[in-house]
Amino acid sequence: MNSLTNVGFNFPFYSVDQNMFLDPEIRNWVLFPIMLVMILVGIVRHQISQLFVATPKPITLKAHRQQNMLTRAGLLIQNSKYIPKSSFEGRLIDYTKAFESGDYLEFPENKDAGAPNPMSDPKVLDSMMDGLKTQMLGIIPQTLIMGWIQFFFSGFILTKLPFPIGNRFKSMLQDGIKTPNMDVRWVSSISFYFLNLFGLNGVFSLFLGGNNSASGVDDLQAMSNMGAFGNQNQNNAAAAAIQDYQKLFLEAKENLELVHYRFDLDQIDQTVLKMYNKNPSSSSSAIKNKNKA
Amino acid sequence: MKPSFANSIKLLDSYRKSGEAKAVETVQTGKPLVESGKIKEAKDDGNLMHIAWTLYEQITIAALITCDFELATTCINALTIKFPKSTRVKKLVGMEFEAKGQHNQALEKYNELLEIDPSNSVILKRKLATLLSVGEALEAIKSLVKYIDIFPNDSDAWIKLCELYLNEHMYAQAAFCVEELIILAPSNNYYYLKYAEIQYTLGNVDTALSYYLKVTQLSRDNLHGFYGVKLCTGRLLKELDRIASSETKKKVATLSSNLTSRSVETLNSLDELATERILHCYSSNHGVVEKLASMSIGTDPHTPISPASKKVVEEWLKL
Repeated sequence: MNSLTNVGFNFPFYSVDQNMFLDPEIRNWVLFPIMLVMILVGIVRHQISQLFVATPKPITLKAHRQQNMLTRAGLLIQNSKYIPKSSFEGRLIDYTKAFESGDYLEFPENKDAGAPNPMSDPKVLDSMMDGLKTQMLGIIPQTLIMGWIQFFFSGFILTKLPFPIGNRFKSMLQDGIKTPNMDVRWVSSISFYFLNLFGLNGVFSLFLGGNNSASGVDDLQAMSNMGAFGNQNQNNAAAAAIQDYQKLFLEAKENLELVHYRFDLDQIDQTVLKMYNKNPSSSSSAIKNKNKA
Repeated sequence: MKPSFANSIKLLDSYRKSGEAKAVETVQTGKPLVESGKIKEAKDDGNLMHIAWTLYEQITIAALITCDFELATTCINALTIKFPKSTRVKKLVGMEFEAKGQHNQALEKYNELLEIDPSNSVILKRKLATLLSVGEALEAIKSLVKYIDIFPNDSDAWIKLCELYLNEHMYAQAAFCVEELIILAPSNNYYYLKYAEIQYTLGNVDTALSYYLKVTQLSRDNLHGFYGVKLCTGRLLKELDRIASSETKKKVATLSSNLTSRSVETLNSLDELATERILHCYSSNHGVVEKLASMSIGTDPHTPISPASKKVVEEWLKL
């Protein structure tokens, strides 16, 4: 398949010895500028996205109340055994009634409406808009840089990797160049762009700290998800925001009713007597172990 | 000798992280830092930049507690210049009004902040605290109940509410508050102690006994707990005795089972145990003071037990 004569004597990983030399001007005017531009765009992007960070909307008191009540019910289920039976039962009745009637809902008027439509909640819409905004902020500069490279430098070979590499990497390293016989170590311009896109993360975290928004990788994801309306994180956020709390309360109620109440202090006499090495045998049969309600 | 800058910062850090008030110490250490302007230099130093503002806040609060208003104002001014819109700094301004006793101004400030974010629980609590220091007890209870309805997981609020109910002799309500506290933190033996005491006051001696025992289980040789055990067993035994001697046999059974679920034998051995442990606490020579300090609430660790007080205890136990 190889038309060159000395092919048979080569080490399998190497292609033909290709004496190819790159003009240093390519290094100075293409390789470095692409890298520099990408770094700078990343940094600028990070700064701009700081401006776009939406100040979180204050949560309403009713939403707090709704959420905290669920936690409170969960804690009661967990720690019911530490309070006397009558106290637990009193709470059980109160909570059951309140949860059934939807007293603790943020919007008690639409408790029977089922899971609300995500689009009807302004909070969700807002968060979606914010997500879209940051996505656009990512996609636009990446598209521009890619266009710039395609337009000016398409077909350029920019650099040579200093180590041998398998033939399978050809499509990764020589995108946009249709020479089947060229050594895989040569890197084309558009491939160099992609290498930078994925590889500059480390550089950015050096400059901007670990939690920066300069890297372009998320945007690629976003691009591939564009049709599916927003990326993964956002879907999760939206799902959390539109939970049907009435359902959660009914679940909590059910769990409360399932609690098998057993008073933790029933055996406390024996435990303490044993703990202090008092022989509890004289009284072990006597404890009736029924706490008054 | 003047402590070095680094040492002062370390000291203040340890105060802040341990959560102790230590206002006097904080002011003593912090005041020279503010007055000499060393904090100002610190905030230009990359490493200390973030600490400087926290220190200002810490020193402000300590200064307000010790009524060093000059120092507080200096700190607040520095913070206001850096964070002109911060709620946290404005809260300090409100606290300054509070400390000076200008409650209306403080309330105004807090209301203003609550308009921006009505669910800021820190500000809500400050407002409540201001109301508590001016208002009627019943008014205070009402507003606290409203707050707790929204933030039922706030144990400080439950403690305060319990305190208010106790002041009004509403023991059943206070007991409810402590139950909530127990649910929130079932390993805190202070809550059990409080609950036992309230139950004893309500006349539920048997329940009180259970909770006193729980206290002694959670913290070994807890004097306060054993005093409670002693008190409960003593009272129960006496009541049982009285019933046994005065009523008919059938009535004795029902009356005593109404009174307690425990047998006389159990009560006796618990009583013995309590006596033994209390005497043990007072008689063991090594480290009594430290032990007492760690076990019983409200004992001043610096006063050693005098022979006289030991005698009093022994006499009481003989009763």
